[in-house]
Amino acid sequence: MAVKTFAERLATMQANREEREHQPGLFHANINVLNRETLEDAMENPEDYPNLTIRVSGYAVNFVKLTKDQQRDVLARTFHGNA
Amino acid sequence: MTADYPEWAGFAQGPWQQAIDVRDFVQRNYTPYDGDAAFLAGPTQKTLDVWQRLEDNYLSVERRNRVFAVDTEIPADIDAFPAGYICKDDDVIVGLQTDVPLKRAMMPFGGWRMVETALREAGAKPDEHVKEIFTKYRKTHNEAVFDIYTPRIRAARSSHIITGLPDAYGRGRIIGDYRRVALYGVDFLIEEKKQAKDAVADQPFTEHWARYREEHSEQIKALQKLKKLGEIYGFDISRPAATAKEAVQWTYFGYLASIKSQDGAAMSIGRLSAFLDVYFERDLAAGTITETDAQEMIDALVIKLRIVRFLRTIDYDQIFSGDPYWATWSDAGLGEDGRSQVTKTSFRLLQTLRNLGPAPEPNITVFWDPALPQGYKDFCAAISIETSSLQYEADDRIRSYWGDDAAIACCVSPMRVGKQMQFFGARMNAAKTLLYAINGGRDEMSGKQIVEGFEAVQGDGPLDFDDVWQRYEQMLDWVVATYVEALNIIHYCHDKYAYESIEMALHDSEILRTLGCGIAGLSIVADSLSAIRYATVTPVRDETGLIIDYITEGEFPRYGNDDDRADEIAAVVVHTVMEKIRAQHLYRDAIPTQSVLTITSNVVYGRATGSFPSGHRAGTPFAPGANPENGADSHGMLASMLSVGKLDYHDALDGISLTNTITPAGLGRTKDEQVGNLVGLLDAGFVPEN
Repeated sequence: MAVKTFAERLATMQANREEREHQPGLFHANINVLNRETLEDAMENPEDYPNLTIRVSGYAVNFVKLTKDQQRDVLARTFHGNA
Repeated sequence: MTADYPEWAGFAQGPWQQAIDVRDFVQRNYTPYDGDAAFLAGPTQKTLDVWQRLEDNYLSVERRNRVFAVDTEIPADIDAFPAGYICKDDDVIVGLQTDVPLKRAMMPFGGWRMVETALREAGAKPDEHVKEIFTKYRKTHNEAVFDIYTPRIRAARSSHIITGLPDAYGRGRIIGDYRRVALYGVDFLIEEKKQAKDAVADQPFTEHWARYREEHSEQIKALQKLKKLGEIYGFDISRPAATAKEAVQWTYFGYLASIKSQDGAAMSIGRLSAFLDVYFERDLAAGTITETDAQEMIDALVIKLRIVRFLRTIDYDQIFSGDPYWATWSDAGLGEDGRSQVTKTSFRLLQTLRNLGPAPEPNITVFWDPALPQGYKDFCAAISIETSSLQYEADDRIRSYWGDDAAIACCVSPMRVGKQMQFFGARMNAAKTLLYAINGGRDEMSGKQIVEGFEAVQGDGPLDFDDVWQRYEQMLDWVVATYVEALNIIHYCHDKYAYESIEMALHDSEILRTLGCGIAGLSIVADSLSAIRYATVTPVRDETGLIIDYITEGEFPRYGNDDDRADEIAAVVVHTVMEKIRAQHLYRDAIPTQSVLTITSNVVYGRATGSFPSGHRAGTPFAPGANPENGADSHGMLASMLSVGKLDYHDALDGISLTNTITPAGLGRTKDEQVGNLVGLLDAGFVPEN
């Protein structure tokens, strides 16, 4: 396979985009509207949150069904405080 | 074939009557709806009773025990189990995977080891006779794959540079066009497949035509079993559905046959709303049903989609955590003629989240475009705010590549329903590949030499960007070639030993196949390359000379803040990987594609990967999908969206995934303000130029 410099890759990518008149924009968005405290409380008291649903990646999940590691991962993610 | 069934009375006529063409039927018959949610009905008492019965007798038990029950004697199949009900008198739509709700069945064609482990973990033991069949007489997909794997694939797999491959479980990512069962009835579908098979009867022998005819035979047998499945529940589905209730029931039988015979990682249901809406509109106009009846049917269908279960191992749960099965239901978007495809049934689907409460399945997927009706956009935003259960995909992107009758399989994989399938490819660790490039193919965690023939970076001076990029390109060549070879082997074996007969029976005879490759760790590669380029990065070695850490001095731009310097690097990485995938030979002439998506493997990948120049620490989770690094996107949600939006869909036709969380207060003070702002964010994120 061809090995190219970064500048060459960038140039072919840009040329390719121009040819297709590429417009930027998202392909996919999982949207959660949540406070971190809710998830922390659900980790502590899962019995109180049997139906708490979140978008974890390309799917939604009952938060309390995630492994502890995965719950901690979700908590470590960015919670945007403004649009 | 031409047909004119009495069940089609009142429908606009068209080419869909001569040959299978559900899209044509929908386009000629559906009624776009541009109003608001005021017409919707709440749950009926029957709906509430059934849902409560499920909660009390089944779901609460499952939450305590992980698995409610397993069958240890009957290998699953379309017609293997007798009829089962949640509540026989109140089930508006009938049909279960086994004879008891939530009871899981053995699906051994993917691999016996997985079945036996899952049974043991559920406290059960397989029937000895079944075990003997699948270990002594009947080869499985898993066994076949490992017969063919090469040493370098095994090395890449065990060092976790390639992870989650569907070599021991069903691949999924195939959407049967379940609507065909309702529109045409099963006899029409069987006849069409027989004709397609016989049309090539005079072709001289080649492996291609032999396989074509054998697969058609398998599909015809599966359709005959589907008809029997209807009979088990007291329905004659050989003919088309005559009413809305039959249309929902027939469509569900098609899906049920699939989830009775396959446990693919994603068993998505397609694009049903506008189709079913045609039947609802006809019955509502005739006065044979009310809005409450229509909602009750959608609620009943959604209840069924919430209780799909597969026998999974605890290990599997690491990659696909929380027991998902991706009954993904795609909706909305615009048609090629510019009309909105939002119907009243699009609202009814969202309403299930209020009538039954939030739940992860079905995986409701809205094809978003700023031109969708305002009432629908507002309702989506309100439901997102209440439930965090929806995902959104770019309608214009999907439509321009795959048409207006496409649906998502799994999370982000678009395909024309009934005309296209994907060879699912899990993903390669693009971040770990960077560390291999720097260490000359030595694994930074184990110290083992995994890839031969590469030199590590020499000396103790700062890393040079151009030098590291060259090494990364070379290492990508090795990883991509190894990865795609593994996928070719896997899908060759899956077609041979675990073929999806019923799902493929609900496809055209000639279909498009894509190979869905994937990458994990994009944000780490982007930030690390940015650090090497814009700051000073010095490697830290252990006593054997292995680079195990980095000292990074100075500032560098991070992906996720709408800063072109870092975002451009991310886009070039995606482009480069795709160019390398395109250069590979693919099984069955598949079209190469790529996704930037991790499901929950971001945690597993992180655990198996070392430290980076970006500051990402060894053993910690990757950010999911195409997300910026956790906490690195510090300029607000829109900036994060704009950065991810700079990745080119053309280089990742299998989808680019962003998972974002915003606090309710971050969206606004009142509910109306929050709805308005979320709609604005989605409009600006998907079409920034708008």
